Amino acid sequence: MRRARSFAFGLGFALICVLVLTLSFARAENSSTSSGSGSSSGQSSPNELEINSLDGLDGKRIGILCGSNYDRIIKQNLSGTYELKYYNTNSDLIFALKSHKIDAFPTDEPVGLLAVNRNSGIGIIPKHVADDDYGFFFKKGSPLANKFSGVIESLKSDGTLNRLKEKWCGADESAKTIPKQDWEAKNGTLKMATTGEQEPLTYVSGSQTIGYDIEVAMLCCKELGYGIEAENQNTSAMMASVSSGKADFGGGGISITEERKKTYDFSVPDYNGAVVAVVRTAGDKVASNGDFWSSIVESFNKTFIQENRWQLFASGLIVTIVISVCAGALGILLGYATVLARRSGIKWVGKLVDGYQVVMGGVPIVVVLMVLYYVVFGSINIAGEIVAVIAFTLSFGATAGSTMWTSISSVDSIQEECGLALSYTPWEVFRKIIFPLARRQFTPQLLGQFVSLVKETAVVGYIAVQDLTRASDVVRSRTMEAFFPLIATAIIYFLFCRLLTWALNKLAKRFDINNRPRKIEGVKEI
Amino acid sequence: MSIIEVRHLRKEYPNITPLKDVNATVEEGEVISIIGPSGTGKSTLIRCINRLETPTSGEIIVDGTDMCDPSTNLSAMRRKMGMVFQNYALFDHKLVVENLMMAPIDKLGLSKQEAYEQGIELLETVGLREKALNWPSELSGGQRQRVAIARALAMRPKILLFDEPTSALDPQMVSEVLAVITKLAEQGLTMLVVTHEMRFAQDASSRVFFMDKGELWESGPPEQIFKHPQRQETHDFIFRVRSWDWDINTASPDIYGLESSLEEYCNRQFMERRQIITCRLLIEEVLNGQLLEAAHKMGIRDLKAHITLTAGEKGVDTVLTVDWRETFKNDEELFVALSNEVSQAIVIGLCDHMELIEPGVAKFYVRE
Repeated sequence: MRRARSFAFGLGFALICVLVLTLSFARAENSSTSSGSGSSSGQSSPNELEINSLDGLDGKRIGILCGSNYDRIIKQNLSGTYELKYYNTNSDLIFALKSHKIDAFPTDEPVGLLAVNRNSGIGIIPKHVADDDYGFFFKKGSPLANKFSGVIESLKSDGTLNRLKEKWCGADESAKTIPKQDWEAKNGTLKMATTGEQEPLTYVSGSQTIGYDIEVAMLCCKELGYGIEAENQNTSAMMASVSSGKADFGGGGISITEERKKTYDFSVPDYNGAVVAVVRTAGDKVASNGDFWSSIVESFNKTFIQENRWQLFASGLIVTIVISVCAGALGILLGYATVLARRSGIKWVGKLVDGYQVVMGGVPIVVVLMVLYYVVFGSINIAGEIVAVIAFTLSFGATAGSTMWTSISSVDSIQEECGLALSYTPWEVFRKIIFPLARRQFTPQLLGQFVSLVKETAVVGYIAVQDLTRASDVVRSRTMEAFFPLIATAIIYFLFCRLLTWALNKLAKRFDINNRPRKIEGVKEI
Repeated sequence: MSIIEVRHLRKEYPNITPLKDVNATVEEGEVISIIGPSGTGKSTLIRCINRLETPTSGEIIVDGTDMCDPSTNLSAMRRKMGMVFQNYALFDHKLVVENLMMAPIDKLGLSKQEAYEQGIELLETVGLREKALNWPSELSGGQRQRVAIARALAMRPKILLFDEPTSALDPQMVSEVLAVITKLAEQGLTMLVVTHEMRFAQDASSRVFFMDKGELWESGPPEQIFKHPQRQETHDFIFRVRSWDWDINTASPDIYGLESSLEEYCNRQFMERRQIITCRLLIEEVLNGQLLEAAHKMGIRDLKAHITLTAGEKGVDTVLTVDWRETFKNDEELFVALSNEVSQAIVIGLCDHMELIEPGVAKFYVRE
């Protein structure tokens, strides 16, 4: 009862926080937005821009997409000094711009146009920062690069590319589909690493990754007799995927640069674009209260309902749950194994366990995750989910093991002697006496650590796993709205963790021997 | 054949040698009390017997089996020897009766029902039938120790080892545990009891081992050990534990510390309440009414006195000796010291009689 009340209180508190946050952010976001269809209407006219020339960027704060080459482009093409700030996704950049954390950010022209179409209060400086060509990149020395180039040249000359450009940058959303893979993949299937966050070049619609670059890649593969499988990951992860061989090629708004050419082989460009600078427009700041609810409803619609995006969240949540539960269960087993290893009394085994726990305690889990994925399993074709389970098992195993060991060490040694004196063997003593006594002590701690584990899994997006956090990134890249999907994700995590805590505590209480009835099963009492 | 034979047993630790060279035999059905000063290897001896400790050298033969032989099945041998520890160590995750059921089910192959019935029966013998379905944490120290004894008995051992079974208990709980052990002693079980309870050693055991400095100095019936010890070391120890003493080094001594120490001693000697109060009043009067008063009158700050109380058999011949020779060096001072007549009268009222052994040493025979 009390628990239920505190749960309700927590929920209420969270909702109030959300409302307050929504109110304040909604002002910043100022989203009396257009419906989100990719039309080119609603683009701000240049004279409203806060900064309306490239020279005006001098001394300003510029946001850069992590893993992109925009910082290089800025330095090469603009004079003056800039403070560069790095963000993970385009939607973060838009939000940072609106909330005055940066003053401008460079992006690809098509992405910039969509962003401006979907957000009020921002616009594009008319003069291009640089011309920019996009292509597909391959591991150095891959024969695929030349083959792709050949196909792209022929697509260019027969006008297919122009047709595709019109289709994907056009206003007709219904036309924006990719063809079915109905050809025979006689040469095998290629894995394509892409961000899925650069609409209209690469983005997620429903549960499918689509876009201009995706379709071009498909046409190339079709021509060359390959099947294709696109996998979403953030920009830096995708670079690592290609160089470690996790993916056969990468693409989707990836600029061809001299620096990248040193590490990768590029195809010829399939899109000749430009880098533009997105800035705030002046004035038009305050959203009236009347707009508030409708803008929330609008955001909700865009985030969850349109294109059935709730499915992304749902499947993300399932991935989060599966990874946490597997890693939790395996981690407890691993922790138990470390306890047994320590109890074996063999010195070097104990040292080994020490070393393992110290290393896991001192290295951030996201680094462990990436090292496992790109280095240890770099040359093996292994699903990111499995690597995530391995990484979190290792991490949770270390904490769970040391928690168990602390409790076990704190059981009085007299209990052990007492068991021995009752003619139990040392192993029986551990199993029947020491461990059950310790278990009462460490169970609540392990439950807490497990809930933390669920939250920690939010970093698996780094290795191309589509978990809840990553799902929200993908949705944010479509809606170009940072705030609502982020808060929605926070609420989902919060509710899920509360629910989990509540359920686990209930479970623990059920198995807590001190709560069991005072009677002995299977015995006729006398 | 003796049930336990210990030959040239030696146990060394890196910085201490608790057992130097111990030889002993125990016959079936004997109840042995092992007494001696603290830290002299008594516990180590019985822990070696069931091999919770591994001896450095020597032999231990239990029921015909060499306990030190690496091929000996220790688990099987320990089944013959129950052990009761100083701090009971009940398994807190099991109900009281389950504590008694676990090992018999796992190790003796009893069915759950059999183990349960045996458990209940044993709880009855230690007087705790009603607590069968309690948690160990709900019991008092004395009750827990009785359960621990029942748990050891549940394995149907031939030998019971007790490692200071009452040392961790509050004084008022000691007797309930001793009563249970005494009852067992009458039932023909072979028992080795490491104890500081001299009364128990004297009344309940068939033989007493006196151990000191890692060696077994003397063994014999209680009569011999307590009344006619053969060795000087035994004699000194028996006298020391049979008497209580307290040094006073200041004109404002710690009366409360003195009284609680006195009370503890008297309780251990099973003195009657009435006589304990008499002893306390007597010491208070001698101290406050005479010594401290005299010291005050004469301006003595570093009062020095030595008080000894020796409890007699069943309350007879309980003697309080007060030695203040260091403070009052000549007769005149002594005369002043004892000149408080009111106090003198009270003291005499509490005594059968008193005698002055020499100037500065008085003996008071406490009234029965």
